Amino acid sequence: MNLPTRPTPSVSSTDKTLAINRLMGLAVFGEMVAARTYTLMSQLEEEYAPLLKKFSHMEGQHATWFRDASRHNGIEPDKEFADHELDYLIDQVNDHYKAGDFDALTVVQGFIVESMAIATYEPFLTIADRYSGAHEVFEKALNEERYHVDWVTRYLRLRFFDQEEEFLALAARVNVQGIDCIGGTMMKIADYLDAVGMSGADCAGTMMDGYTELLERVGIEQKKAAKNVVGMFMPLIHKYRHGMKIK
Amino acid sequence: MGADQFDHDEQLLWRILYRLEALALDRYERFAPSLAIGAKRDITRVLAKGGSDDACLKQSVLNEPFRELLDAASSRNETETLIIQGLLLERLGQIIYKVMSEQSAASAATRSLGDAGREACTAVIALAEDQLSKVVGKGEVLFDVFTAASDGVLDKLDGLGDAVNTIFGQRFGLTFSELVGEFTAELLPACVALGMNRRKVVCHLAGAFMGQ
Repeated sequence: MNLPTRPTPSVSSTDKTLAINRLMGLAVFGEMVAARTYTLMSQLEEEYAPLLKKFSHMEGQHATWFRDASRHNGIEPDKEFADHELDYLIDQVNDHYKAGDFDALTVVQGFIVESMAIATYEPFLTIADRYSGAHEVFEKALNEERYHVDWVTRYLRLRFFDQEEEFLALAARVNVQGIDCIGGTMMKIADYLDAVGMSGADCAGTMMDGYTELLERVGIEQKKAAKNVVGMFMPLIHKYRHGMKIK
Repeated sequence: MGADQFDHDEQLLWRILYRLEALALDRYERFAPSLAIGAKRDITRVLAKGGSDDACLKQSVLNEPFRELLDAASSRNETETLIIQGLLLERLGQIIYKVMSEQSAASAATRSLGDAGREACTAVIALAEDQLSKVVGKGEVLFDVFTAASDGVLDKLDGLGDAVNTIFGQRFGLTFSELVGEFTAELLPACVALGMNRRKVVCHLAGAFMGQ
């Protein structure tokens, strides 16, 4: 089957406005979902509750900073778009929480969601100066997201020390839905990232590599990690390329 | 080894590999003679004798996207040959041969061919990587050459996706996503060993597969 390659869209100022509204919508409301997820996690593990509540507060602050930066720049964060993208994630988080599955929540939030945030915030810094005050808040948020990921990585390394197979089973169980959801969102915003002067492909590649790296840091062998992550992204990339419904 | 030893799906798969091997051998003879090793000649000869003709390929939905891939893979000089054939398509072949050599659902002839093919690919890949670092160098310089030479072939791989899933997915468990996952997992350490930045390579692959 030889499907036509997607035409390269022309970028009008309307497209750019739509793109930044949607991207900022995802950033603002995504941070709010992250804050809620860390709060739920804090309710499952008393030992880590103070730290996870702190993480939750930090994510909430990111949402406030991004909302303020949007307001200063005449950007209207697109809630409807964000809600649509985040609904599936919220369902997964709720399911894991109901099952009392702290480790699954840790992988979804700490690895998959944070990987996407880092993969988009980092390159956004290269164009953030176009939006007054955006560089400073995105840089601060990026550093804090990295801090969260570092903690999550340490937690998972200790939790699954010498239990690579168990961690692989957890990752496989969580990844199928998690990557489908968050990776799917990444593919859906690829054109918006292009429209505002970033590269959707670079962000997707950075997310894939970043997530692979995290799996490696917990102890998954490099080839196994790369095969797993790329294998899950490929159907999403294929759908993106052929203009098919991603999720 | 004759075509009657293989069923229809196996014949199709071996025909595809024969066409890739024949193209590779032709390019090696023209541009990179040290890669035209005996094992590669042997496997190409066995595939030529043992497989069917192009009829099964022409009747397949794979025909058009595969023709496009072959066009894109027609390297024009030593560097392109080392990258397109040596670094990329040999690796893809190596994975397919490995999958087939481990297939309990496949015939004994197919499994044996898979073993031989994998060994030939492994030997050529090592030679190609060594030669590439001598001819082009390593690191950023190589990355720039690698992206330019590989883009067209990677882009055309996508066209095979649906057909691979339909024809080989159920039968051999050879889904396109898994194939590309394995291909990437094998390619990345090789690129890193050649001094390329892993993240840049992943971003390049993502862009090529996304059609950008």
